[in-house]
Amino acid sequence: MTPAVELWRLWSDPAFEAGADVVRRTAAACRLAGSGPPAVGQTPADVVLTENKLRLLRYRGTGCERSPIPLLLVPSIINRWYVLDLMPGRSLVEFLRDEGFDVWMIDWGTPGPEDRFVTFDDHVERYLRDCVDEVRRVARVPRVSLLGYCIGGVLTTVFTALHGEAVASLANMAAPIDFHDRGLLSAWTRPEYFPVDALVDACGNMPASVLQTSFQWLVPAAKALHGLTLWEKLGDPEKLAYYRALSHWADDNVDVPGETYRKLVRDCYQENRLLRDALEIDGRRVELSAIRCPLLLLTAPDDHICPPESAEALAERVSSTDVTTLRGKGRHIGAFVGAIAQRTLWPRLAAWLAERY
Amino acid sequence: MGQLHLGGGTAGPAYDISPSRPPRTPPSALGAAPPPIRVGAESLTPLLVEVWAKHQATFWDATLRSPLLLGPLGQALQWSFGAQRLAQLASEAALAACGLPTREDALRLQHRLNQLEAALQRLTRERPAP
Repeated sequence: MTPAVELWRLWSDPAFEAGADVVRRTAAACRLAGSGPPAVGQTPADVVLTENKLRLLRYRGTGCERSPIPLLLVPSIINRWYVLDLMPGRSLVEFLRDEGFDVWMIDWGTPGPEDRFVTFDDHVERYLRDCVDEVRRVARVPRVSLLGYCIGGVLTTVFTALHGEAVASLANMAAPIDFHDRGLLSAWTRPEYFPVDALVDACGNMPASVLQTSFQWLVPAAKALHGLTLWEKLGDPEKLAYYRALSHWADDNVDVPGETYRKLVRDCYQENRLLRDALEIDGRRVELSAIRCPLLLLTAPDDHICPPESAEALAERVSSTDVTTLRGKGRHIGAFVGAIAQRTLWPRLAAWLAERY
Repeated sequence: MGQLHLGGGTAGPAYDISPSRPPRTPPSALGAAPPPIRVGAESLTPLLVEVWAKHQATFWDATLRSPLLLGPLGQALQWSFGAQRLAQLASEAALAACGLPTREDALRLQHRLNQLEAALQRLTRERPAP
């Protein structure tokens, strides 16, 4: 083979393959445009309890091989629950179920305009308490394990402080406790900048669209990079499916009940009452030192919504002698449901839960 | 996917575009194994994008927490929501003057009914089985 031919081959082969790659990705993009929304939250479950818009799910095929204590997952109230059950093969619920846990989940539902009067206290003392009681009743156990994600972790923390006798262990994923952190949310919600009372009085519920926009502004570059990231994922069907499911979830915010939002912003973000043991739920003061059960804090160093120090502040306030902190890799979502979390964080979470009952 | 490895070689493929796809041409007869010099879009762009995103993040973080931005924005929100609330109150006052229930009345009633329904469900669950 002459050098000229070899030179031509060296140039033409990569060029041909690059062209073929562009064609393949374009075809994948066309298929994507014609397809419906991704299927999410597919792990089979039974609805055990309904209350207003809330549903309590119990996943089928769950067992007690690893732990006789049921595990109740408490997602955030500003997003949909299925982030913890994103898609087959990439689902924390599915993983924990296959590991031999009895897995339950709260789906907070989509609040209607009349739910503007549902309070933060209702979420703790009515919804979460009823769910925990129902899990205990059905599973015939005195205590349950709680796993809270984001604001769900705030609710589980408050609940555990008030009803410690019903909680075997508490695991929080990216749950802010010290709200006066270095994050942008902390700056934006300062009373001099954010008129939460005026917003709730005028809008009733906190609109999902406003929440969505504010979250997008937390990382402005991410939205700009969406197209490029999608182009990258188009070359790999598995990554594309996961990316689509996650994007679908990120765009699927729900309204937050107005009174709940008012208390969350005013008492937590603006006055940092939870950390100062000054938060009151139905007239009872929430003291973090009342938490005595084993505690696991899952945080992410690059979390732009809940910086790790915000979540880890809980470790210094509780009376638990068994406190574990695990830092994942990534941001608020990817660090806990991404591929790396699946390989590293989830097995450690399962091991931690199995060792504590 | 789509990582182009350039260079001649006697062993191994001259390029590898997909793990599941065999090379289109046989291994090159020239030189040693191809060094993994990656020039594909997936290998170069993340680096460039990362640098760009880092610069963007620094800029936006400083901008979005600046009191020069947040102060006027907060004032604008306050006035906007205040005006919206005043309009709502005026509309409700007009309805009330006509003896009609307001939207807030209806929502509050529905909320109370939801609470009542939940309380009944709770009582039913707690009732001992016959």
